[in-house]
Amino acid sequence: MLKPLDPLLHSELRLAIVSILIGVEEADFVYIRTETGATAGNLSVQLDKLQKAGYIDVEKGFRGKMPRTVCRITDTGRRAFAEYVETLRTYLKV
Amino acid sequence: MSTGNNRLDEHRSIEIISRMIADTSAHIDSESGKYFLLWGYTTLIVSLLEYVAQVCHLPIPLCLWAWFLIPVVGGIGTLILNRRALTSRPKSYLDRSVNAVWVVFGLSFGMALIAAMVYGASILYLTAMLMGMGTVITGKICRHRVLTLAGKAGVILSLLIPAWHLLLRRHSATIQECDFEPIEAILYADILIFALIFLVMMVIPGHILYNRSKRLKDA
Repeated sequence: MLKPLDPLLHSELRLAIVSILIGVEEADFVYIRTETGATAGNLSVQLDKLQKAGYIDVEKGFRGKMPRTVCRITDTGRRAFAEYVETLRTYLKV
Repeated sequence: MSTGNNRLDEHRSIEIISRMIADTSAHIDSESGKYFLLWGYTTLIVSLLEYVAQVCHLPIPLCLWAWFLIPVVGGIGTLILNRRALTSRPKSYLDRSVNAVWVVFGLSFGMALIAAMVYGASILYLTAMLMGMGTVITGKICRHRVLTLAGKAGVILSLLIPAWHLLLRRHSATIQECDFEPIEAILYADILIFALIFLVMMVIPGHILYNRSKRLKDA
């Protein structure tokens, strides 16, 4: 029997967010929103879910007078992503 | 790419992962050429101005201070590029590594400057060699073959500067006696070699990197 895919990552937007963060040290909210094409509201909700699961760190700060939200993947998130990709391989037999 | 929050199948998952990773890599790559173009062109233009100033016998203080245009223009330009880049692009591990390399080589340049002032070491040779080494390491970290080759070429070509100085010392009597006017055109030819090194080491690879990242972005 095939192992189930992590439901937290098995959603288009959350998977896209984690895929962006896996290759970088940090990315800001604006960049992730541009790359994913998501609305600000939806993106905030999904970032919150990933943060609560401990997959990402979200840091709210300022650059000059502009608010800036920076996201980073955590070790837990990295492990979950690796496991997700590994499970995908068994599904696709690659 | 528009990513809704709907559930997805396995093939779509792979597609999202691949596309997001590829797009992010393209963004990381897109800025690298600009720094080489900035420092390459600044050094090339200031060197040529310096050469003309020396050959045309412009006042000595003007000749000396012209060199300081390189760190001033390069430094301000780098700050502007950093500011622009940070607002629109993710920060990668490569950024941190490459920044660390250039901070170390920047400090080494400071030491070379002291060596040149105190011991009379050739600042043109030391600068070209250090910047060549920095370019090779950057090329290796980023896996840019063009940068690695350009940096190696820079390190090798930098040897032409002490070779030229040696040649001048050995044949100083002959040079003084020759009819060539102005004689400074020969005496300061090391500045032209220095400019050529930066053309090969930074300007040409800078254009190649910039055009490549532009093509990637447009694709």
